[in-house]
Amino acid sequence: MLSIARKQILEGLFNLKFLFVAAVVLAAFAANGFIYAEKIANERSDWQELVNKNLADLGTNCGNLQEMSDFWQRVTRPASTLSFIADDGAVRMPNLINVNAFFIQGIERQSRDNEQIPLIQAFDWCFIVGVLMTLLAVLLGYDTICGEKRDGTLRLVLSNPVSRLSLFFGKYLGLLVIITLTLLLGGLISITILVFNGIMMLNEQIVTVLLWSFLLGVSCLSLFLLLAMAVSGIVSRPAVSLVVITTTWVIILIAVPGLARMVAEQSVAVPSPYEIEKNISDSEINFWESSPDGAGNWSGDPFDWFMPGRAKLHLSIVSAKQRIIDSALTQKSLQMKALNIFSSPSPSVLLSDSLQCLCNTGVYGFDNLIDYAGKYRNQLHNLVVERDSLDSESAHLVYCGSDGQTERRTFSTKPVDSSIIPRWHTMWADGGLPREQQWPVWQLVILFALNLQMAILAFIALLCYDTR
Amino acid sequence: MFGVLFSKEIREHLKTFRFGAALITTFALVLMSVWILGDDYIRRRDNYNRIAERAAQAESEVFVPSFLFPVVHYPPSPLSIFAQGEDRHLGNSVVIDRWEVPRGATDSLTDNVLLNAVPSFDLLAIFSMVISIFGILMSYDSINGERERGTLKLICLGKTSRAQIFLAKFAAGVCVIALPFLISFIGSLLVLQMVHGIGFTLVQWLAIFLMILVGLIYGALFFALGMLCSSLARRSSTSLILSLLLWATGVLLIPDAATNIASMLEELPDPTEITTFEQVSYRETREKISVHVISARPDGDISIMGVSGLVIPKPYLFDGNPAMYRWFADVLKFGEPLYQKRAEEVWQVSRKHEDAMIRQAELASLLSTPAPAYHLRTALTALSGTDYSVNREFIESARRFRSAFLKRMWDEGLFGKNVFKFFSRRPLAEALSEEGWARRYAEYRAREDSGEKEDTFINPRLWGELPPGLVPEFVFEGGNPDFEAASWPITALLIATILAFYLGMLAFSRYDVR
Repeated sequence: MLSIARKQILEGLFNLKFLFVAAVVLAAFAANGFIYAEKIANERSDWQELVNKNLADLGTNCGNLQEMSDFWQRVTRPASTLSFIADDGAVRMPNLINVNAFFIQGIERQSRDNEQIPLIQAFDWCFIVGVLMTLLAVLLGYDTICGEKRDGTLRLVLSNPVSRLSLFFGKYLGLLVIITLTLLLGGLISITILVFNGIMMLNEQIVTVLLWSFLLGVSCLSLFLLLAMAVSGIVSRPAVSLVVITTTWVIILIAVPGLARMVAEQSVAVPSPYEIEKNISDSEINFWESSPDGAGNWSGDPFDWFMPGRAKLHLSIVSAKQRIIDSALTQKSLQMKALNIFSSPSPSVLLSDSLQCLCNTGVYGFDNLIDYAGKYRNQLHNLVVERDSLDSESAHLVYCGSDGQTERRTFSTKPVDSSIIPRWHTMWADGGLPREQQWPVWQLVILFALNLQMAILAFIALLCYDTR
Repeated sequence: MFGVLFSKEIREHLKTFRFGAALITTFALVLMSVWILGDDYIRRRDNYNRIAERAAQAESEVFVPSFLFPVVHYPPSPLSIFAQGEDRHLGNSVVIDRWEVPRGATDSLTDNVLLNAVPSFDLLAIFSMVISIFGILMSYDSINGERERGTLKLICLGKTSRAQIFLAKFAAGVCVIALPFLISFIGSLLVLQMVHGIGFTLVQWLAIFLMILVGLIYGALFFALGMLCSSLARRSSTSLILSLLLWATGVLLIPDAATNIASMLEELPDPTEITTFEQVSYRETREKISVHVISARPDGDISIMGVSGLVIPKPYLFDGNPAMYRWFADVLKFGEPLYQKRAEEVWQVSRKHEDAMIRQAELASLLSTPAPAYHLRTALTALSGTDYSVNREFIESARRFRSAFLKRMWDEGLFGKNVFKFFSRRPLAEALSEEGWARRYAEYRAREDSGEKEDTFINPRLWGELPPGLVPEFVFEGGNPDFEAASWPITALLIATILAFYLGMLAFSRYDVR
């Protein structure tokens, strides 16, 4: 078996087509290093600027407790140091949200992207491994069995005391070693460029993530290799095998995610902007009309916003509104996750999904942003409530000023020391990675299961193969 | 002889396994894509209709010019089903604000922006990946495959010239590629008509016809490239690898790398510069006005209704107090031009960024020129009216609309001698006299006592209408198929096809048939 593997490695390495594709892949990895060295550096300086601006604004705009609670902060997600492995996907993922002590709302995208250039795909490892290198795996594996038959060597090999099992594993291992070496070399090139540009320090977390990425990448590539070997063991001519594999490859790459989108849109409903708006206004009207003590009675003094009944009414409106906005956001990310789950038959999507999970980009980064923004809002809100409870003159009715025009006399207007206000940027770990790293375990398990299944299929195909 | 060769080639192709694979795959993919995107289009169209409805309703409810914020919009193109382009993440409407020059459209019509992170699954994506790869799979062994089987010698022995053989093979191949493509396209059009009930205008039909043509040229280009590789290499497996590499470079690598390289070469200015300038200038303007407000206000109270931010109060609040009425008019005359000037300044700053973006985009297109997929994309998005230029034109028309709107307001003297009309429809004399106010108040009390619902006292809509023609008509001639923009990429694809064909023929004429 080992001698077959060695032979396969040598054959592969000195093959012109391999050398050519490998050169393209390595060049792509180098380009990835340079592109992201610049991109991440830019994103970092933008994040730093935003942090400084927020700090300055907190100092100038949060004189008293009410100003502080109403003050909208525009907060972003810091650029992930590892975005070179998996970036946000094909089109820009929102990375900015507005927060005050009562609301999180208004997701946007703020970055140096040029909207005038159609961004086809990010030039990250997901693209290089999931698209370019799978092509390499397919090209290496498409003629493993039927090519040997065409050359007449298959019968020769099998006439020796070599079992079909060891032939199969020898070939598989040989090709896998070549691919793994290419991936390792490419990854090292890209990492070296980034480390030398001062973008990344290799600490424990980053090294673990890198190892996971290699593992996921190799298992995805191995799957394509096994697929190629299986097809090559079913058909009799290499050309047919390549046609079948290429067709499968195209289907995996575009049809599965497309179909998954259809299923996801059907299975998880996302309210349209108008439904959200209507829900909010309906609940508002409902509260106004059903409020006790005539608090919702419009025909009073328009400036009498400080009546306790009115304040309570506002409090319930605000929390209902926030619930509606929050649930719409959750639905959106749920739909996106459903899409990822339904596309998991496609190994490329599985790979990019799990890498995004590792690097905290894509829908995972978005979820993290929403999650942290929610926590940050609660921190601010708790601070306001706590400070307000210390004020003996306050009515302790903390609610959001709906128009910002009248001074509410329902809670404290005592000045606040801006240094006690929690800071957004302290919520994030360095490099935009999550504080508790999630590991894409189930994605890896699925990849392994698919690998095993494909290996069995390929082996059975080889067992039944007519070597003549 | 040409005819015989041609029909033989076609028959042979039709019987191959790869043709079957191509037919089924293309058909399934195209139908699926049209199904999904047809639904998506209907959702976006509904969302758009709501925007339009709401804008019209909001405009009809306005009673004083100060409350007038017209919304301009354009409908999504039904052809975006075939090539989504930028349609899926750029907005379709702009709110015209006196204090802001429009810089980008808002209200993206999709319900879930996150879904945009998935690569689009439109006909454009299917064309650029699938048609091209099938073109190559059909042609990579057209010459050297025949040599391997030994039939090439036989064909060349006949009287037919090599040029004719080559041409017959090429023509037959293109016809065969066209077949799955046309079948699935017709199927998709049927789905759109029957399931979604989406119809097209004559111009759109023309655009669809051109789209089919562009797709075919694109397929023919890759077929010719495959034949070129096939006549260059001795063995069919070598030519397959060669043409697949060409495919990966021209379809995947170059368009993707070009955008990234362009953004490295042509740096954009820091975007926070705009937001910082916006905030600083707003604060400065506000401060200037505040100083004026404090010095001029009769009762010295500035907390009410945020007047320093020029939030226009409900007109009746000042009624009965002519001094307040005059004071507010004075603040408006002073403040409004300042805010409008600030809008222009902010626009000047952001224009630098926009110019840099356009330069970067031009560089990216220049770098992507060698990639056929880029030309296909440009042609199809131009034909479906979903490329970025549509959005840019829309914003430009919104800007023109805004200046026309502001000019009308200035002409009406709303910020000058007729400033009262800007925030009130009451007759000036009445608003400025104590008796007039008292009379209205008495009328209001009488109505309230009699239990009448309509509150004429605080419903100034009943006092009159907007000056006629205050809102100019919005003219936007975009969103339709842009045949002119599509002509250049179509020509480029055509030239590339002819070149590949010619080179292939050249290589074939020197090919060693043994």
